Amino acid sequence: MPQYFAIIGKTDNPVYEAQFISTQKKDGTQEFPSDLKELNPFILHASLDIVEDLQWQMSPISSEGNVSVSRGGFLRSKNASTADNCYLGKIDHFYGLAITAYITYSGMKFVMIHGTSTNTNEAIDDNNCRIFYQEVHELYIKTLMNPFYNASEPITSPIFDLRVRQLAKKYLK
Amino acid sequence: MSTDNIIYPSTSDDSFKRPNHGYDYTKGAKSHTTIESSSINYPTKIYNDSLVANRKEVSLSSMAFLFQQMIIHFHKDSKTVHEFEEKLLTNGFQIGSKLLELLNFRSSINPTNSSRTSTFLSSNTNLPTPKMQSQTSYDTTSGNSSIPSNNAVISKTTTQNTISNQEAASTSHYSSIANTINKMKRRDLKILDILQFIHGTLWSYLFNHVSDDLVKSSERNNEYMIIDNNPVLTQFINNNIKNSCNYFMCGIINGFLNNAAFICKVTPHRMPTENSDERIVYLIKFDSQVLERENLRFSS
Amino acid sequence: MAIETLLIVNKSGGLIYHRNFGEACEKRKKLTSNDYLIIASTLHSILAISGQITPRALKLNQDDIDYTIPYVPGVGMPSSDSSNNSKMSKLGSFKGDDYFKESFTSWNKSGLRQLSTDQFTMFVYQTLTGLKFIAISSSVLPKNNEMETSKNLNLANQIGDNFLRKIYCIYSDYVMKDPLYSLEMPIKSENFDKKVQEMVYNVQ
Repeated sequence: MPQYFAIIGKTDNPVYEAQFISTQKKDGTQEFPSDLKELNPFILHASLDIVEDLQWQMSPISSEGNVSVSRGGFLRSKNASTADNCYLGKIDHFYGLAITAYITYSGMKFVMIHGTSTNTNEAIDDNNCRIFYQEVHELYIKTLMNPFYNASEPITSPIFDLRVRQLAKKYLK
Repeated sequence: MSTDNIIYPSTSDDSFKRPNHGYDYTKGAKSHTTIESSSINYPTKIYNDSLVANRKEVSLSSMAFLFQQMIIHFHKDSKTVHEFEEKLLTNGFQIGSKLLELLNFRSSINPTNSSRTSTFLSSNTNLPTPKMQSQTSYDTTSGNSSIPSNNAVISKTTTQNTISNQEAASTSHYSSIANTINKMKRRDLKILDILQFIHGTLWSYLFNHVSDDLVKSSERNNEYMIIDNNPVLTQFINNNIKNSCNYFMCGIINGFLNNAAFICKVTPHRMPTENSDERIVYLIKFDSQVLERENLRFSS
Repeated sequence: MAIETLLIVNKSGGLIYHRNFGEACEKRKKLTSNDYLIIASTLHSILAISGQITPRALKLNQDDIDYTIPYVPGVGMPSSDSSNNSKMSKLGSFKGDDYFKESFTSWNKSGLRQLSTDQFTMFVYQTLTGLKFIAISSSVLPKNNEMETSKNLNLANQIGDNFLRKIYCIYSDYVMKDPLYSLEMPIKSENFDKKVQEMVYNVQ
């Protein structure tokens, strides 16, 4: 299934965007429908409010894997605070499209729309998704280490682009 | 791809029209990359290097000379003391914001000895030996990781691996450590957590020792103090501009905190005591919104 | 060996630092700063002239002469019994508990190295760049037994060189690494003053 991935800066500006299309041509719908493709940035930005709320909750990921917005962080038990709070898991959905998110330490938001595949509602593989985000996070830090890159500027490096796509191939179906 | 550039640079130099294969925000998301087919050889060192520190020490003298030149440069360019301090602050800010990501990430790799992975400035003779050499670099493209938690991932992606063999050739020696991390270090959500991180990890990274004290002001509840009895960077600088030079370190702290969404102001204050007449207090004044958020979220 | 006066003369003979210690402060009150400038340039000239009047035989045999000065431990360092204090005073950019621990070669190969009178002894340490560190000590070297004298003389000379080399180390830290200092100009640094004071105090 296709994915739309974006890194959103602190002023909600896009830092990096990419579309991942599976190379396997088993069935026709490997790409987003053309009318939906244009909407992707809008769908993604619509979910940023949820990300920003989850950013300040002690344990943003629930055990079931989907998160409802209404739950406040202060209601959680104390031991939950040891859990990972960078990867937020599935945070939102839009007409069958699942949206997952990840927040870096400096508040950069990694967000991804998972497109629907023909073979019904396939659940997102949380573990693979998390590793994908972590790898991109590492690439992002490496970009940040470049003295000529200023934080929250668009990342135009072709190598970054290539590496992210390789990771997508490796971890995302 | 190069023909449909939206904005052309106003230059006749052809080298500027070279097709850019990376992300272009004027065009939005691309669905595929063209770099594989291109003949241009892009430098990739920054992406090939491992994020795990392997260099342990920097000569204090060379650091002092570099800092000295920086001070001279800013001092010459500034008309007022305030302007000079402001410039140092902005420069430190950049460093702090980058360190925030880097140090937190490094702490995720091996949380047990996170605080002693590297020393940027050090006047200590005995340095801790790194324990994480075993997992610093291994090739992702080889695919045969020895880390058991990844086996599941690899078996699923074997089909893809054969496809991407072509790319693998171009990206050998690409070292990545993120996929060995089971749990990222938590983002610091509370003021005390992040101050502890600065007091411990950041200070260890910069000076090879934790800061001498971390104190909360008893008078105002938005003020915290980090104390350094013997500031390394400014120790050779003449007293009349010494305190201004400490704004650089303030900038690092400020960049670190501000980027983690703890809006604050940091100022240095020289407060000599009996034992150390070079004692510097970095006063951190948090913005009211930070306290408000803390009250709303974690007051219970 | 009590140090009474410390002078630093730059390569063109200008005095860039002078300071009296202890009783010398009172004794030398009569000297004006102009007098010090004259002393400095006179010494500078003597150093240059003494290079010229070095016997030719000595110059020809340069290779045979050993200019190595051995390291004398603990010159100007805090005494070891106050070891709890040693942690406090770090030696700037120098590691370990002393500025250097190996013998060194004197760069002052043809100039004046020492001047002994029955009032004072003067030591000169010259750096490769022509900077001269001059210390005037109140100690008068004995001259009864000839064997004894040459031995004492040698040791005093070594201590003098070791001491002045450490002053040079302090200079390299607190003067050369100070952003507001411009080369060849008078040194006005509280940090340098303080460190020199400490070292002189420890020598006494």
